[in-house]
Amino acid sequence: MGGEEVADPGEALVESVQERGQGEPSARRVTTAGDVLDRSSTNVYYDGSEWHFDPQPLAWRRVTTLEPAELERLREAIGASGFMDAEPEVRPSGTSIGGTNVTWTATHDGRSHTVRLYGVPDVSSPEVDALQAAVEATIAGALQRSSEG
Amino acid sequence: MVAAAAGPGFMTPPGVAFLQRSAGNAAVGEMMRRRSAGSGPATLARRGFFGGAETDEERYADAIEEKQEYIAEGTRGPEDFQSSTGIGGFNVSYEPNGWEMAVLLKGAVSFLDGMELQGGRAVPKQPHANAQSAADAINLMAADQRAGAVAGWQWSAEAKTAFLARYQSVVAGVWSGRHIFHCSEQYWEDMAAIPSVTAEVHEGEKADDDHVAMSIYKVPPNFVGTVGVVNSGGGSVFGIGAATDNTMTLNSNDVEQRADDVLNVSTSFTADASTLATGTGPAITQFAIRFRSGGPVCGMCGNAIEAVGGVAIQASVEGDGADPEARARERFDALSGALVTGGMTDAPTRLQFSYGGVGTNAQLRVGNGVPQIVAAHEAGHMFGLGDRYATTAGSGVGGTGPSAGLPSRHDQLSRDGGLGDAKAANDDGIMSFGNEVRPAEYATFLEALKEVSGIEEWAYGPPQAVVPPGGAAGPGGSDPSGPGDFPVPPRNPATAVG
Repeated sequence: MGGEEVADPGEALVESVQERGQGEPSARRVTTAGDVLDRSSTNVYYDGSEWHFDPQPLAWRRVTTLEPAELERLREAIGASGFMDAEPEVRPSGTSIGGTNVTWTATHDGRSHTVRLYGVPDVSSPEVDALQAAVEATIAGALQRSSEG
Repeated sequence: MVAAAAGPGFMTPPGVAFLQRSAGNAAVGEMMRRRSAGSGPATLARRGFFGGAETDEERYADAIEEKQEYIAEGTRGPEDFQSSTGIGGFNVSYEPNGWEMAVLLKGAVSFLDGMELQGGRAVPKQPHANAQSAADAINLMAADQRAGAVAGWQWSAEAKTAFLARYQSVVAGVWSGRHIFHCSEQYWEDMAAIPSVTAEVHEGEKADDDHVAMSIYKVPPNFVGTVGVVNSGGGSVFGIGAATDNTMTLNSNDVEQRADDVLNVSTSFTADASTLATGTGPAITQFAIRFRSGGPVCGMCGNAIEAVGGVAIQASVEGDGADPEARARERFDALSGALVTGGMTDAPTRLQFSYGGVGTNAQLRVGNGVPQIVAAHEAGHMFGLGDRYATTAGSGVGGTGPSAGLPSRHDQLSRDGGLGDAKAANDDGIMSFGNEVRPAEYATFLEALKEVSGIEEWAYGPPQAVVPPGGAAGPGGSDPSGPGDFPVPPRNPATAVG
């Protein structure tokens, strides 16, 4: 979407980082201040008839900003997801070649926790799935709110 | 069997019984089979007591006869095969009369929409971050526009049919007939094997004889965000069924060339000068690291631990001023110097100049510059090959490939088969960033050929003329007499890895 570049990405409340073969890593961060930021080398947009996936320099860019109530719901969702007690590493059974390594980090009640998934989509974690669903729903709600406003 | 073969003038039943006691049933059976199919009792009478060949001429005659019998016995296999690398699986057979080594990859496909609308909200199903960014873009749209934007992420019946056909075409086209093997056993050198690859994929549940269960996400045609992955489960106890215990995930556009082409890179120069334009430095440095050759470097002394050559890089450079071509050459030198500074120490020998006309730009093309077809790369994993792209720090490349110069999963197998190294490097190779299938990428086919043919002695290259004792061509000892024209494959280019 080519949002506004942000020099200081702030303190992360929750963050996911994707690393995969033959590509540059990307990251998404929701800060403790409610900023939703992306760090990606691809500018994704739809022109009304076609999708575009254009290269762009790696930099943090703003996606949207959560309102205080949305941020509070996200904090609650982090606690409810079970993520803070999830296994810190999940590896695939068998031999997995070419998968994406995804690292999730979240902070709750003054404590940080990190879960690394080695080989997505061959691996998953129900706690990460719950956290991801909550993050995506919160961000989607904020985006829809801004589109209606 | 043995007694029946013993006809008049050949051996008496008591003689056969004696041989059976002294040499064993198998040895006698083999001797009788060979003699009854060949030159008969007269030849045996000339030979030693057990009928074994004692002269070069006899060994030659035996070899020709055995080879002809081998060919006459027809196709070996088919059988499912998994390489000793422990990944993938396919079906293989060998037909010695037509020199065809048939490789068959069978798969069952589940078609998955890359994006869904749930209660008016776009939810990405394809797991790459760029699909999430697309969902963000959709959710920013007015509600009545979202369905149209999601449509490109959802399968139609026509798109499914086209994908299946294209997948089969791509796998066969990239992998078939790239190289040839010949038997290296003495007097069998005119027998060859050419891998012919076929893929058969269908929608639906995985059948027992399917080698892989495939999940294919629908994405827009120009989507950037590969998700290609192959998982090999290893089968059941003792690895039984390992060749059919695999999963693969792809995007719908992975049957076409990658949209995020990394083998072709542009840069620019300051007008009326030979210096690189402001801001181009980081990209040049990343290019130098990403495509650098040379093996792993000693952390103490900085010297290369292992030498690895890199493919050639074409640099088409534009020039300006009174003599644009001379300016272009100055810029070429500056570019080469910048790449050396960035870590590509052999840039002066790998970079090849061409004049690109008047202007301030330059195009760098690694190897043949043809962007990869990811589906063909992932099929390589099904054929037992590992990744060969290099994940050197600073290259911007992550994943399951090793650092530059370290061995890939199939490196040892390739070297054992006389096919050269398969060391990690970013180049135009099929298990790296391109589509070139070099001899090393046939290592697992060679392994499968040995297995299915029952012959260990196979070597790289076209069939050879059989030279009988004394050098004169005899029956079956002339130029290769196979199915006719065959490709004479190129070796790894001098500048290539391996």
